[in-house]
Amino acid sequence: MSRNSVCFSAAGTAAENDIPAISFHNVEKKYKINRLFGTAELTAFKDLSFDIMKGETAGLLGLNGAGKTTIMKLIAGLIFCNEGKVEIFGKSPLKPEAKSLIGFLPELPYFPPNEKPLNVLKYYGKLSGLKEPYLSARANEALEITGLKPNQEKKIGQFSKGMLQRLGLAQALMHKPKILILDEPVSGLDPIAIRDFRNILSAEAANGTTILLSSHSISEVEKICGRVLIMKNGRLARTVQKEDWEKDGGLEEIFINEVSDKGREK
Amino acid sequence: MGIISSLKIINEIAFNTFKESLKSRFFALFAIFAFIMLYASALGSMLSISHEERVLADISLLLIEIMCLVYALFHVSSALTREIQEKTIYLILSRPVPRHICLAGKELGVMITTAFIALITSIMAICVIKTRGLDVPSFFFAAVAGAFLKTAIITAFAFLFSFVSTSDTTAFVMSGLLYVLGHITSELGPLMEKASGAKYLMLKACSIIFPNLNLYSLRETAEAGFPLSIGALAAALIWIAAAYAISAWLFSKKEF
Repeated sequence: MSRNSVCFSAAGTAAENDIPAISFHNVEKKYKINRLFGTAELTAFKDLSFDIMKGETAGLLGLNGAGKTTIMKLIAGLIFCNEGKVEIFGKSPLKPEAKSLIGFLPELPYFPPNEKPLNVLKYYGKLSGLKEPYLSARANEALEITGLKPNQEKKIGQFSKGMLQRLGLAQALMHKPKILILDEPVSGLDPIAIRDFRNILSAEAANGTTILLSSHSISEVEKICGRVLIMKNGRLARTVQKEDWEKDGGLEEIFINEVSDKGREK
Repeated sequence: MGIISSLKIINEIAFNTFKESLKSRFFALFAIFAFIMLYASALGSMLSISHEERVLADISLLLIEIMCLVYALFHVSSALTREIQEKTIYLILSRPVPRHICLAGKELGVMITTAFIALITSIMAICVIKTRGLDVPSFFFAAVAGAFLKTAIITAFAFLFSFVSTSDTTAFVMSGLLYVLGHITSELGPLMEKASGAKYLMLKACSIIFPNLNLYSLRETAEAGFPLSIGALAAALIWIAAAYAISAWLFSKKEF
């Protein structure tokens, strides 16, 4: 099966192997908030720097408002940073060449209830530059990967939350992205759906896909990720490697210590 | 991105927007509403002893224009907020789809939908007229085309207003106001003749900025044998293109 021109080989070019898949360099992001008189600025984060290397599976942890979704939106090119630089394999996330490398799953996206999943996947596949006959084959493959194949004749309106989330993942996988950005991918899913999701992500990671996911489920992040970035009040509080949380009694303990008041005193 | 690829993506987004509209319950209710209104117009015309054909055509044309306009205003003024809430815009803009291409697809989709509404309501109107044993007036089709052009212009401006306004209601009101203003722009001509200096320049600027929608009220002109001038058609395209260009610039700066 031939790949479309917008897709890249799993191995990547030599240059891509040398540079981080995702790079934040002294990034500052401010939001404007409308007030009764004029506007006010809210700083989501300042001087944020980190790299996610090719093939890495990294997690973003933090309390609500810590800046996790903002990081994901910056990577997906949905918002712009005020200062600093965000790069996807050395390219600006606003450029189409960078966007074709990314598969993005926002938290609980909407899909038209009267459509069948295959049509939705084909639509998003076309927007990613895929062409027939590869498009149909890949849409079917994405349904297979995400376990939606038995439900492909159902309309999306009949889907459960877990099935909708699988469809969300399928649209993100359509163009075989090199980077998967997943915002709360297991939120509200039952244990079986979570396990299936974990298996899909493990398979993607084994194929060399770089994964960045945010979640409130520490146990899931612990199982899936090799490294975790803990965000607190708009700053990177700590980066923890898998071996660290395995050695220090689990990720939950480390996370609570970092984000709690006790952690602040430290 | 090449021109062919861009056109393909515009086509995909436009067709998807059209398909979504067709499948939405709002659209179905709208079609039922249109039919009921046209039927009511047939009843109303029975009260008119003479000129029944004319009365019926006038009411139908007015309803067709209102239907198209209301659909476009309701759809466009809430489109951005709805797409952000549903996160569908995330799924498009996180892909290699330039924002101006996405906007062109959305605008075209709404215009195709309004053309479809105009077509369906026109067929309904013709059915009602024929049922009454009357002939469809010669100006009918030109007048429907004029109503569509007006809606297309307002649609392009409604997208622009949706990017600058802080709420759906404001965008809706601004677009509605432009529709009203567009019908009194032609009154600026006599005023300009009497004005001078800054006042003249201001009136002149208004006459250029605000689209003159009377150019597309083709009922009378079509009846006289002048359906639509090339100049008026070119003006419509310029207003749509200008509104699109500003909208595309605003969209490129928009954060989601």
